[in-house]
Amino acid sequence: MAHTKTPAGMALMALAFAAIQSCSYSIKVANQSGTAQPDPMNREMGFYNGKEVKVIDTVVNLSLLQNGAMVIPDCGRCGFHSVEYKITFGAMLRNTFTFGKRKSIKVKYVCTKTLNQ
Amino acid sequence: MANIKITHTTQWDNFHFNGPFPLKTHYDIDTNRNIRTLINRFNDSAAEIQKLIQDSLDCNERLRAYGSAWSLSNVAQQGDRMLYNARLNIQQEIKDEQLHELTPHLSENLFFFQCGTTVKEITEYLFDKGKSLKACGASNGQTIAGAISTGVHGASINEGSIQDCVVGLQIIIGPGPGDIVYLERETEPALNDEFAVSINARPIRHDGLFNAALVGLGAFGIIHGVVLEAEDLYLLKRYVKKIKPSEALEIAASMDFDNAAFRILEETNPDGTVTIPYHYKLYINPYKATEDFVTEIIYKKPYRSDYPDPVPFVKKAIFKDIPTWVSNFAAKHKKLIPKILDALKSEAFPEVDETIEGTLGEIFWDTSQSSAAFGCAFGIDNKDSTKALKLFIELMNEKGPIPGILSMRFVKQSAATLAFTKFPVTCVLEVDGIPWKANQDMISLDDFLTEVIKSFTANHIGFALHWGKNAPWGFPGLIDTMFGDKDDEWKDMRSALLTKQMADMFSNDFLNTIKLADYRTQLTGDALAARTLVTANG
Ligand SMILES: Cc1cc2nc3c(=O)[nH]c(=O)nc-3n(C[C@H](O)[C@H](O)[C@H](O)COP(=O)(O)OP(=O)(O)OC[C@H]3O[C@@H](n4cnc5c(N)ncnc54)[C@H](O)[C@@H]3O)c2cc1C
Repeated sequence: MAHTKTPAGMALMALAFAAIQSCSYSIKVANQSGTAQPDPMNREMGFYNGKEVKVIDTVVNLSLLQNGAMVIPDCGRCGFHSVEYKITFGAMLRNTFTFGKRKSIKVKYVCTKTLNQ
Repeated sequence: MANIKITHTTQWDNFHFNGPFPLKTHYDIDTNRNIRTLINRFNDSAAEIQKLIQDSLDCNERLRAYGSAWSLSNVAQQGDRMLYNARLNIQQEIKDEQLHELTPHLSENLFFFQCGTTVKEITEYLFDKGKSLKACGASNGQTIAGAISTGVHGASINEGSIQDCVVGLQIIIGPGPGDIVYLERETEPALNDEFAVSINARPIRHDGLFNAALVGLGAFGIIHGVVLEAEDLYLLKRYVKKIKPSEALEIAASMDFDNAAFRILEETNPDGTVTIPYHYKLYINPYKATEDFVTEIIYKKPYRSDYPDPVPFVKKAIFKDIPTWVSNFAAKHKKLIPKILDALKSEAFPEVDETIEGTLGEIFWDTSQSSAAFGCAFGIDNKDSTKALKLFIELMNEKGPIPGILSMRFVKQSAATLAFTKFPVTCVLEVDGIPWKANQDMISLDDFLTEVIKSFTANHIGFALHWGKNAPWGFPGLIDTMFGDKDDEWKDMRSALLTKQMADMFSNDFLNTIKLADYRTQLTGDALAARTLVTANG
């Protein structure tokens, strides 16, 4: 424990932290057209402010995904407004230790606002 | 039956976190999509809103409709009950047989939108019909009812603000069967009485009433339907140039593009005259005001489809999600503010010498700014623009610095009684930035804007403030300073349309602060004529 408090230990920890951070990332893809399904009570700084955000945070058997897509029924005909795919260090570890048989999925998505035409 | 989600709460906030404000009950209404015909679905929403009004009356509580909560002032807030209406987005074309016999409009240009339809939804819907809005703001997230209620403008020199293309308003003014009205101007009728009947409304044609209700600040009842005049789809060609301050301000004060020293070669005719731009906007760093101004000049062009997608280039908005700690840091080390703003210039200003083309909806696309922000806009006569800018910059340097950047847009006068674009050509002098915590060294935003008001008044610069933006709304005598007798006209018309009880239902703190909430029992002249029309078969 004492070792971590030395300058070298701290540097090592910082390096490990940086490595973990760089393994964790997220990518957002958003549709140029259409309006996001709103959620007036969702006040959070940034991209999701005022939008209705849905989250898939699960671990699935690979076979479930290999056979096709994960089907999301709740966006209706207007489809997705945006999708964010997140990879965390923990998820990568799980993938490694299960030899890829179990995949962590962390996806945030926003549907397109339903039309009334 | 339209679906209403009820949330009991204690507070509510707007899009840019200018609150939180107190709130007891939040209503989130959506149309009932199981109702097949759009007009029945539309009428069902209105009936449901009327029930909500009755319930609010029974509980002795106020009710206020709001849209995207994009207003930075508390104009949309009300402590009892707030009705979120941005899911009410029915969109319809107008048919020939719905036109009024005296209308100057073509049915192909008229469209009927439910109150919560956003500007983006409207531009996309119109695009599919080969049409476009005449004007919009710098971005597209406002609802149509919210946008007209505060007088949202862009920099459209010849078209004016969004409310200026509205030709009909369906408003719910109470819970009873006769309490849905359809307002138009008498001198510019659009749709016939059968149309009004089809939306369960009583037609009322009166210029003064219509003009007052147009920029109604949510105080004329619940606007449920809006008839807009659109035009054929067009392209906007945007140039971004640097112009010497003296030349840019010369144009600002005169709007004389023909004789200006600055000209764009591609927009100059062989005879030496120039094309008059659709839009003219100056971006100004107040701490380096002698630098050339970044200037956005946009020309209207016939539509064609073979142009490159402009959206990747327009993603820039003033102050993209800059965290508030930047401004709080700046408030502690205020000498750094000019340096910070200079460093952020590339985020805040469009790229110089970049020319793009796109539709109105593409050029004024989504905002990327969704964090804490402040914005204040003074509407002034363009002839005063140089003097006003000088005073503003002096105050920013003397009383500040404050973390904000200036811009100037130019907008045609609006016919709406309380439109803040009230001058023949209104120069909208704006400051946008990130809010900060005032301290003993750093002036608060309200105090700073109070200094601006005092300075403009002392220097005889007439002004009106954007209703949906930050301002010291409690400044003594502000409404009369801004509007003279116009606010009386507005109050008279509001009193002509609403009963005293309903006028109170649709009031809020903002109206009280600015002194617009009072009700007139005794009416004369035009307002009395309007009341007679309202009560005639109500
Ligand atoms: C990112 C951003 C960019 C902006 N750009 C511009 C710009 O370029 N030009 C400009 O002029 N302004 C601009 N603004 C200000 C903003 O557009 C206005 O304040 C506008 O009114 C907000 O529309 P909204 O739908 O959010 O309405 P809200 O803010 O929700 O409400 C505004 C007013 O409308 C009333 N209202 C809403 N719906 C109804 C209804 N159905 N019946 C009766 N009253 C109703 C509310 O009670 C309130 O008084 C900007 C704001 C933001 C956040």
